[in-house]
Amino acid sequence: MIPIEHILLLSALLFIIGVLGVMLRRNVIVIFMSIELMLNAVNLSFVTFARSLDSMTGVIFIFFIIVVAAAEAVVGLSIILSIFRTRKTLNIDEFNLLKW
Amino acid sequence: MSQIWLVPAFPLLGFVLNGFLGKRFGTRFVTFVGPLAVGMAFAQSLILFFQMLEAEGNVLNEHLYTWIASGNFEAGINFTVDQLSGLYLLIITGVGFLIHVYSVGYMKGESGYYRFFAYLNLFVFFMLLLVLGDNFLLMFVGWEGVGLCSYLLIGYYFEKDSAAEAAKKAFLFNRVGDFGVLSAVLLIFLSFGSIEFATVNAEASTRLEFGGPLVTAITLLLFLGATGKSAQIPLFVWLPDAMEGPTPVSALIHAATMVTAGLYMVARLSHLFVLAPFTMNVIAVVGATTAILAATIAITQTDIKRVLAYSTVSQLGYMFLAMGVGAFGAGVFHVMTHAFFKALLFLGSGSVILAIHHEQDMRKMGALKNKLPITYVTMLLGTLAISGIPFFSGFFSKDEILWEAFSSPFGSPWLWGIGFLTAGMTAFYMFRMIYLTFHGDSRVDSHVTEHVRESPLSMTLPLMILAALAVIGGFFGVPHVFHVIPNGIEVYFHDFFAEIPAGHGNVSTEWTLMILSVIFAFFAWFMASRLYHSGFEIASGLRSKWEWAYQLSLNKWYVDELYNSIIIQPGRLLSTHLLWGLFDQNVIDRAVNTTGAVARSVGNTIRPFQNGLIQNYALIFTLGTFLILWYMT
Amino acid sequence: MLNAEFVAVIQVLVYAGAIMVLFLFVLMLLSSKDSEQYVNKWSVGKILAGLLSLGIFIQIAGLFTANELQLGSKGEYPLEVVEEVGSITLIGRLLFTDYILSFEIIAILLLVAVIGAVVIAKRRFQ
Repeated sequence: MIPIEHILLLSALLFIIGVLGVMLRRNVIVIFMSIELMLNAVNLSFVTFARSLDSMTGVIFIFFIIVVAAAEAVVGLSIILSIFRTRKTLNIDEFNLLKW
Repeated sequence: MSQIWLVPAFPLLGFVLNGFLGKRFGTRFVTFVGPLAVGMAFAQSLILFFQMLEAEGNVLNEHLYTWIASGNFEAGINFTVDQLSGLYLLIITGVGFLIHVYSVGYMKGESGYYRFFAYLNLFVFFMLLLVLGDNFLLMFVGWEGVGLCSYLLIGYYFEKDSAAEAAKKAFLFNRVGDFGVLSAVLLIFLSFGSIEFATVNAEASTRLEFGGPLVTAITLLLFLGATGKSAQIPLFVWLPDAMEGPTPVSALIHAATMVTAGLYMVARLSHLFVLAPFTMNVIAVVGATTAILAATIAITQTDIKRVLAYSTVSQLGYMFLAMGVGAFGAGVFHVMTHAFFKALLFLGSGSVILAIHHEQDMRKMGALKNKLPITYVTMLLGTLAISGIPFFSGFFSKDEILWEAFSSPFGSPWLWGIGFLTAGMTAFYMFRMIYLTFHGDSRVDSHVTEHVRESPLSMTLPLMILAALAVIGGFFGVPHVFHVIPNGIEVYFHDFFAEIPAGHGNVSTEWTLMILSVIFAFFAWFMASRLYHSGFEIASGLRSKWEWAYQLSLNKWYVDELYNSIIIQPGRLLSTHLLWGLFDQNVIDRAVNTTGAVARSVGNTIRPFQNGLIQNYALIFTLGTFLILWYMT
Repeated sequence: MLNAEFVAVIQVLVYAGAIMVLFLFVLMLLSSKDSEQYVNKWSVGKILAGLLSLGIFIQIAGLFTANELQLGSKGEYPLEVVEEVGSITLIGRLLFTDYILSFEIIAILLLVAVIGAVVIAKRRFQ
């Protein structure tokens, strides 16, 4: 049995990589994939805690997170499709209408 | 059950009816309602007067409504009829009624007829409020109200610039006086905890130190208000200009009633004033000085109403002289007789003016005594009264004042001297007026001469009634020395006014002074007849010798010009350069503009944060997360 | 190693099977011309981002590797029970009894998401 601190560290590392991906990459699709990465990192930490606490609640929660992640990916990608039709580019610096 | 509230209620109702319905219902309605309102008030005043004489302590009280009750301070709408206000009630409503009847004839055909009577009724209402109130607050409401009505009525011919200016001037000078009254009321409240006259009079000697700074300040401030309302130095210059109003207004407001409000206040608070000998001296000196100053101006005036206006100022000075030497009863007596003969003189002059088609300049009058007989006789009687010719009303009241000025502990022979000279000058310029108006050769414009006719009964009847009063009114206050009938005024006012120490001087001195002033009055009459019985020619010769005195007198001693240069021009310069230029533009505008500029610059600095770049937003998320985690660990 | 076989299988199925396929479809539809070259400039923001992320990692790591990692109360399904009953059975049982409300809501969420996606990405026919 691996001590859980290692798995938790792995989860944290995956999360940080996801965050960096959101902040530093320019392609919108890549940013989305980074968001999925963040969600998966959290899944991992949930499973770890479920095992170490002898509880099934964590697993149920993972179930829900996966569903939500899928839904959000679907909606997000459809939005990107819609915006792409006007702007013809996937550079996130062009999606700058969220201002005054 | 005394219904005191009825007395002011009638004129108020008259104002409402005339003001709102007068225009619709026309002249006959207004003619009926206007004088009737004051007439009913007069009837009720008579009833109250006799009730008051029967009542215990000679006072009737009525509590209507508690206006303000806040902590220790309470002010109610309470009416009091005592000796002083009872007499004033009769004067105001009686003379007021006669003047209303006169105005029916005088203002006939004027547009705005209803407006005139509405304002006149309103004035009577406020004046009644002034004398009926039993506390300073109610008196002050009346005080301000009569000032307002004076403004409205002086500016009755509001299309004329001069009338509007005169109205403004009257109101502004009144306002200066009001500042004095209000400050005094504040001080009184601080000292006494109450603003009721009864309380103040009763506790004055116990609460205030005799001759101390507080009571002197209070009384001086009150006197300042009185000078504004009653046209004494330094605030008298509005009264001659107020002659722009119609003649009945001049008669009622500026001869008989409003200008006596200041005297009413001083008389009402006699117990307070005797505690401040300094103020009494000031009042006496100011009164005497005003009297002689106004008399010197009246000698050369050519407008008949101006002569009477300055005469009013002069006579008011007499009354203040009386108050100042402690002869409160004599002062009030002169108020009464003055109301009779001055109203008579003004109304008579109005009759003359109307007869020669609104001409007021005496250089265009003359030889009217045959054409206007009733007017002539009544005006002559009024002139005899004012000049102090024996046994007319003015003789008794004026002599009482002169004697008290000489003999009272507050008085002095100098004051008597000034009063004596003024009496002579009064006789002189009044008879001058009579001779120039009614005697000599006619200087009336030719096209007017044919239409000169005596005035209608509505105007001459009040003249006759007032003339009768001017003749017999003096017998109420026959001085002791005559030993014929008791001095009615002293009996009436027993114990009402504050006591002053007994004066010096004996009976023989009194007779001597009286005979001196009678001789002087006849002498002045004689001089006037010599100079003016045939018009201006003889007088003009005299004028060229004393040109400088003539100019000084004609131009009112340049008082208006003095005020202009000392007060008005510096005030204007101060406002323009300092208050507007320096303060308003620089400080206030700058503050406002700076606030706007600051808001704009703050906005400009913060706006770039929201640039729409999503990755920037994500960056700020992570920054926030970092800080929160840092704080939590 | 953590005895959560169900989770593993579900992850592979959903992510590799559904979401990746979705991404590929979208990429196919977004036919951008020759792939744009993103110029990667270093800027203050990027350095700050890197530093902050590092900071956060250190903080979380510090949290996880603290000396006394205090865990909450133990649950009711120790390893033996899970191995005996089977994790899928347990999950199914729990979903349909204790967590039934959340389950229904999730179902509706999925439905809404699908409808929303179709509506947003539809071409507007004039």
